[in-house]
Amino acid sequence: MIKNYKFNLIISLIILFSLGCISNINNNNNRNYDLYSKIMCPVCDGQTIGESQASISNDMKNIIDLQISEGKEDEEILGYFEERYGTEILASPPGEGFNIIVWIAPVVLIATAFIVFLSWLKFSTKEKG
Amino acid sequence: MTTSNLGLSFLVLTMNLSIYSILGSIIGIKLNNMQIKQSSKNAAYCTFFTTLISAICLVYAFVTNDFSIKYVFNHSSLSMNPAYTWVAMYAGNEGSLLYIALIISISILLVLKFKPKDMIESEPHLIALMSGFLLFFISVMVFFANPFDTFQSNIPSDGRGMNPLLAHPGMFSHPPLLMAGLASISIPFSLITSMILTGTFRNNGLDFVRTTSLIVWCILGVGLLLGSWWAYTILGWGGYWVWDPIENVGLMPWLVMTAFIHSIIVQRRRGMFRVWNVVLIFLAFVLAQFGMFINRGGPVVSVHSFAASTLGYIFLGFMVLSALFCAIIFILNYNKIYSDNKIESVISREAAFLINNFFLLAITFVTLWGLIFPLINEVFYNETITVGAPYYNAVNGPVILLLLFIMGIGPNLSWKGTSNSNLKTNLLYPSLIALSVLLIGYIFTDRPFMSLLAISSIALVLSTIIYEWIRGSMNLSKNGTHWLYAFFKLISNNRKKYGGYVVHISILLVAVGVIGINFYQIKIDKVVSVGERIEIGNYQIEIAEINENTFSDRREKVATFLILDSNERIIDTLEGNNTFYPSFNMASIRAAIKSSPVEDLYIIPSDFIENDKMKLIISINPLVWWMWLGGPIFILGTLISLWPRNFKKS
Repeated sequence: MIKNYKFNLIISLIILFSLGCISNINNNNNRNYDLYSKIMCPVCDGQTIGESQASISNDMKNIIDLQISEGKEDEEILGYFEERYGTEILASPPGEGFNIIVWIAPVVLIATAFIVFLSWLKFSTKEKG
Repeated sequence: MTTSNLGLSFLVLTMNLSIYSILGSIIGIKLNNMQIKQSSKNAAYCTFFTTLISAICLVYAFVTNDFSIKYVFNHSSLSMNPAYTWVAMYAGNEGSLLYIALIISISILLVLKFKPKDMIESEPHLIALMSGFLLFFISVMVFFANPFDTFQSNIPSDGRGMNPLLAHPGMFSHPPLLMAGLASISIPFSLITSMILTGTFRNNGLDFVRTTSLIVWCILGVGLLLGSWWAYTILGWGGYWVWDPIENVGLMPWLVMTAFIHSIIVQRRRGMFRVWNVVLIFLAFVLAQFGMFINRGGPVVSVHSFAASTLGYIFLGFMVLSALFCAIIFILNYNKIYSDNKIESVISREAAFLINNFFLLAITFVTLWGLIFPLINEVFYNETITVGAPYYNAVNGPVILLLLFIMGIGPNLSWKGTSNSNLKTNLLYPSLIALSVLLIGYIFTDRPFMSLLAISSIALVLSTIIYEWIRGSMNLSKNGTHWLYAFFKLISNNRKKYGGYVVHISILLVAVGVIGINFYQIKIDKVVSVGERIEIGNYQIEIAEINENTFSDRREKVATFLILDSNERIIDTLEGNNTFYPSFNMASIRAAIKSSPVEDLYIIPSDFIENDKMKLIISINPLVWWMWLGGPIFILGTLISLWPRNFKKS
């Protein structure tokens, strides 16, 4: 009853979707704001500097504006803050070192679980009919 | 007798009543004695009235400014807007516990009142479980967090006031609904557990479980959306959703409940997925307790932990106990709940429900993982990190997109996959529409591809629903009935299904708003003087005036903005304010918003630099309007789904 092409269809759709997701997600059409929302305010609880009204956040925003005008890359600017305040200043951890687990684990687990789930589904239906 | 004495006495009384009703139920079950069972049921009924009296005492203390009560002193003041004294009860830890206890006692009352008669066998178990849940919250208050604790001497003449961030119209709806939703997950949980314990989970009561789950799920969903709206109107909470830990712990139970209300349909229709449904409801309940723990003294930082306390370990303990309890019940009764019906086709409605469940749980898992990973990192690697919005957007975004896509396919599949011959006709036009949307967007715009995929998925889901509605109505109007009448007839003939479709549409509307603000937002910030004009999109904005009002507890700066269109005609005047509360050293900043279905013009007076100069964050947020429209549609869909069949038919 099940033909393989349907599975191929599902797989190719997933690939299509994943490809689409590589494109930028949080796009304010404003580079400054993108960066503001990637850096946490060091004196607030759970706010980015884009949200926070603390004076240090305003200083940090000014530093970002300045570094952008100096022609620095996003990576450099984020690295500048990480160096001074530690990794926790970044709104999400970089995909390196131990922290790569936070990124990899869900992808690997969900993909594995989905394959197991689909084969289980296939197996348990075949058994019947 | 003072209000505090009265309130506390009734808390203690509630505690004793719930102990009585738990013990009574258990003894009644053991001895199979109807009188004892009835007596414990009466005690459970009474807890509603005793808890209500305690709650009234606390509200009364707030409204009458009784600062001899420490909790009132800490969360109210004479200078506060009096409207908020009515709701300041749940502004902090102790009072919100009392509010939750009240919700649980109301749940007990309603469940016992409206439970179908054929569920009589599991009733004592149900009472014991729900009274046990109530007892936990009441005991925490009595022993650790007494909302009626008083000053022995030196009664202050004024209080500290409510946290200024809570002084917002949203305070009247978002916290009570969210807490009510989370607490009342205990209803379907207790119903199912009691049916498992009595071996009656096979047949009876599923409709009632479905009804209660839908109500709980709707309350929780509306609570979450109202929270988003609240966050949207002020600066500091991340726009509308920032994947903050406290937001996440409210979202996770809702996601699992969403999975549950889908898969419970399969159990009703086909007798399948029993084990799975039990797992889901247990998970939802434990996650709700996890939320309680994170909210009240958990180890994570959040922008809105208003109920933070030192009682984290108690809630952690309760969560662990709940999880153990669920595990034991599950293992001991596995044989009773196991169902032997198998799925007959991968391309069937049942399978689609499972795939939907899979992705809902995947989102839940990613959210949980992002929440606890900083703790893991700290323990094993001794490094503090933040896992925030960029992570969730990147990892959860694609999964949510897939889920959206499945929403278009799933409802078109038939049960058992037997009559899927219609599949091609059902999906042909919708797929064509979705594909052309994608192509047109790709060729003619430079919008991000992911947003185009999302929009085309929305087009797919919407067109399948509309296509089915049109065909159904046309069939019904063949004999000459008006098509509008036929449409209502179609919906009322299968309320469960079509109510579900209306809910799907509401989810699409929320998705439209999310796409608009995440992908198409334009944002600038600028220092502006009075009289100066700035251009953004098709608007020009001018600060007309800045007024300062001083109140006893706050200094309010109100900026009036003139909004002009591209032809320099004034189209609107808006006000935004920046209110500073000296005693809290905290500012609450309210955005000026001009909302329309196309786009919101959104101005935040983030900082006043001099008397006539201010820093503005201005953005154009396309399509957000639709997200808020999603709320009423969501409620409407749930109501249609829940509406009982009239007596004539049955």
